[in-house]
Amino acid sequence: MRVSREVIGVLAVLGLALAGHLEFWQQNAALRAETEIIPVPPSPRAVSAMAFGDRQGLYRVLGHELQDFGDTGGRVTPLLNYDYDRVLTWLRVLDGLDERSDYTMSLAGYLFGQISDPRRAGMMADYIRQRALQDPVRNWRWMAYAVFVARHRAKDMPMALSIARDLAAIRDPSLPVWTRQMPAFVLASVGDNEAASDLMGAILGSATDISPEERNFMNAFIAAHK
Amino acid sequence: MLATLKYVLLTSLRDRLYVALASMVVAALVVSRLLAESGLVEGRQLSLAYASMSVRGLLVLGIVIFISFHVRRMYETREIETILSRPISRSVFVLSYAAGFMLVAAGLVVPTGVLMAALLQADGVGAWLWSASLMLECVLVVALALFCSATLGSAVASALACLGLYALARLSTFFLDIATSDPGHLTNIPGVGVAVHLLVTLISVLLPRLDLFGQTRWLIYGPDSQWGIGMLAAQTAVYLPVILAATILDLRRKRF
Repeated sequence: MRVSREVIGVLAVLGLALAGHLEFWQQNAALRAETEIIPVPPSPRAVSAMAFGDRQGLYRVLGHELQDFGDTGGRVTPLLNYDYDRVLTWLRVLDGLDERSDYTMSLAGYLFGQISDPRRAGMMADYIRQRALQDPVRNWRWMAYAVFVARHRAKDMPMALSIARDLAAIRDPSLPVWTRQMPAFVLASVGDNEAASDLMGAILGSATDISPEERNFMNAFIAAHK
Repeated sequence: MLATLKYVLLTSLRDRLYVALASMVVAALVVSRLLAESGLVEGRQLSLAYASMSVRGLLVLGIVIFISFHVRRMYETREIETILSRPISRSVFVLSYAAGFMLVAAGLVVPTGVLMAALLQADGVGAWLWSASLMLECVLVVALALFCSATLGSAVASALACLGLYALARLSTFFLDIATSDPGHLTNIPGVGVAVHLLVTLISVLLPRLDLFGQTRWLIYGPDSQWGIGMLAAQTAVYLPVILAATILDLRRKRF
C-alpha cells in the first residue's frame, strides 16, 4: 500500500507535536500556581454574590473548604503554619451565613483548637465562647468544650475560669449540675483548693435539684479539697 | 395542544435529555454523598448542600441547552412554518410548547426531589418545599429559554443569553444590596454613581427574584418563618405571563 506524502507529512507533524508536548510536560510537571494556605476571607457583599441566593449551600461549601484549605492538591499543612487571624475571620464570615449550625464551633474546637501554640488555641477557645453565648442554653456543651480548649490546649487558666463562670451562669433546668461546678473544677486544677471547695459548698447549699449521688460526689469533692 | 406536549416529550427522549441529565443527577448525588464523608461533622447537611447546588445547576443547564437547540432546529428545518401553517394561533403555539417544556422539566424535578429525600435523608417537608420551588424555578427558566431562543438567531447565543439572565436573576439580592446602600468611591465621580445606582436598580427590577428559589436550608432544617412556596408561586404567577407575552409578541412580529 502506498502512503501519500500528505499522510506522511501529517504523521510527522503529529509525532513532532506529541514529542513537543511530552517535553513540555516533563519541563513543567512541577510547576504550580502559588497558593496561600488560607485565602483572604470574602467581604459580606462578595459573600452575597457568591451565594447566588442560596446562603445555606454556600455556608456548607465554604465551611468544608475552610476545613481543608491547607490539605488539598496533595498538600498537608501543619496547623502551626496557618494564619489564625484569617481563620477567625473565616469563621465569623461563615457565622453570618448560618446561626444554627455547629459546624464552625466544631472546626474551631476539634480542628483549629488542637494547635500546639497556646496563644492561637486561646483564640479558638475565645471564639467558641463568643459564638456559644449567642444562644447559651442550646450551646452549653460548646462552652464546656471551650473550657477544655482554654485549659488543656491554650494553658490559659484565667480564660478557662472565665469561660467556666459563663457556663455556670447559664440558668436552665435542663443543664446538668456539673455545668455549675465547672469553675470549681478549674480552680481545683490550678491548686486553689479553698476557693474550689467554697464554690462547691455554695452550689451544694443553694441548689435544690441535685440527686443524692451528685450530692455525695460534691461532699467528697469538698472533703478532698479542704 | 396534546399533540405538541407529546411531541416535545418525544424529542426530549430522542435528544437523550433524560438519560444524560438523569445520569448526571445520580452522579452528583453519589459524589455529594461521598464528599459528606470528608466533613468533620454534619455530613448529612454537607451532602445535601452539595447535591442541592449541583442538581439545580445541572437541571437548569440541561433545560436551557435543550430548549435553545430544539427551538433553533425548528427554525432551521422550517418545522415551525409547517406547524404555523395549520389553524393554530401563535399564542397557542407558544403556550403549548412552554407547557411541553415544563412537563419535561417536571419529569426531571420530581424524581430528583424523591431521591434527595430518600438517599440523602433530607427533611421530608423541606424536600417537598425544595422540589416545588425548584419546579417553579424551572418553569421560569423554561419561559426565559423559550423567549431567548425565539428572539435570538443562534442556539449558542440564546443559551448563553438565557444562562446570563439566570445568573443575574440569581444575583438579585446582591444587586438589591448595592442599590439600597452606598456604592462607595463611584459616587465621587460625577454622574457615574447615579448611573450605577440606576443600572443595578433596573437589573433587580426587571429580573425575577430567582435567588429566593431552591433554598438548601429547607432540605436541612425544614420550612421556616421566612418565605415559603406561596411567595414563590406569586413571583412565578406574575413573571411567567410577562415572558410568555413577550415571546408571543416577538413571534407575531416575525414573517415566515
